[in-house]
Amino acid sequence: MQPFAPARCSGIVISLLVALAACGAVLGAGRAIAQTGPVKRILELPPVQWDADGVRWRYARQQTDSDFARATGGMIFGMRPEEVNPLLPHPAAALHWDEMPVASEYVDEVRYTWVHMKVANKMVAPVRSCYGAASYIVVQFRASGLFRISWRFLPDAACPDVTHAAAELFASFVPIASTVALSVHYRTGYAEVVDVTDPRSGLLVTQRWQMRGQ
Amino acid sequence: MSPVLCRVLALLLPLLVSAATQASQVHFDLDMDLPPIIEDSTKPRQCTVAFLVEDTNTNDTFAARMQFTPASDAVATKGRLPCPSTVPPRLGERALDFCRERAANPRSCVFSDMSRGFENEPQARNTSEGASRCASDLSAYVGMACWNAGGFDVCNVACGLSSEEAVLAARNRCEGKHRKPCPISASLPVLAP
Repeated sequence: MQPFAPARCSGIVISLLVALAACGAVLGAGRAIAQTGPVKRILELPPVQWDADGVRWRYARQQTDSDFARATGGMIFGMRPEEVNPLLPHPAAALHWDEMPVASEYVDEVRYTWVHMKVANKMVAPVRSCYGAASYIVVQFRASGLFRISWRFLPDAACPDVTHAAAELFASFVPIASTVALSVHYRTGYAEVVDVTDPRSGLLVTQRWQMRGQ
Repeated sequence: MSPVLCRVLALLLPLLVSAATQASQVHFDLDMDLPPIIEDSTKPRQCTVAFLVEDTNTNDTFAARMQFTPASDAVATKGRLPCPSTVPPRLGERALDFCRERAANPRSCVFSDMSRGFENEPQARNTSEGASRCASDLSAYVGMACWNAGGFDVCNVACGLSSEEAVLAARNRCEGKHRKPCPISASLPVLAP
């Protein structure tokens, strides 16, 4: 057995330090490789609970209208126009079914009111990216009450790409179970649309707005 | 102190002690800030299989987490409960259904792990259900890497014990399969928060 040699020991220490530095560089490079480039958003659906055999499922967490109301500034499906009016950013003097304009894109009788997105802070709270000044929100009613809220993101010269804004809003509704609120994201013309609909609205659920002139 | 006073005090002492005890109990009840049930944070989390699915019309990627009720005799390894050895196809179909519910065109929903040439024929049959999921007993993160084919992203999926590992594996898979740089990436924990 050789006696302790300080010179040899320092050599070992230096070798270890070099090896550690090399490992750090490799790990750092790996991290750098992994993080370069744009990051894609992943929208998280509500978790589902399956039985042990993988036959039956249910939502892992029971959701209610309150989950929806939190994302809409207090609105819930079925509310009458008079109940929705005070929740809008600039409430009308009065909002009644008989006096509201008819939404022509539906076969059934649907009436609506609308607000500019830029003044509806509570209704676009999750949106951080830009959207055009003309973007707006349509609040739609059938005779039985509120059944859909439609966010229509329109680009303009100051904000030519509204895809991020629409995705940010959509991301806040995707975790809500489709039994409580059905959220759909689509494009029509140059508009990005996020519709959130009462799942109990029958055939109205599948009807979409089409931008005119397309 | 007179003997009478001593006797009176001796008789009152149990009453005073009892009153003090009751007072402290009432105070405790009023200050009850803790919830009545405290979850066992050391309990192993049940098996979760996370699928990534895609709406090619909007470029939206959805994560569908499927949790499994553990069998009564299931034993956790390293704090993780085992996942089923084979995942029934209906789970993948359910993940696609969640996307279809949220898409204007249900046909635009596909699994996120895509075959070579997917950009020419963007259909579900050109995607892999098995490669689009990660299970919590073997991995902690699901990662994806993509390249943009004009209107939509063409992606591949991989699993890893860290976000970096999952993305790196997905990038290697994407670049190997499509023979293109795959700079777009994303990752997510397999287990729900």
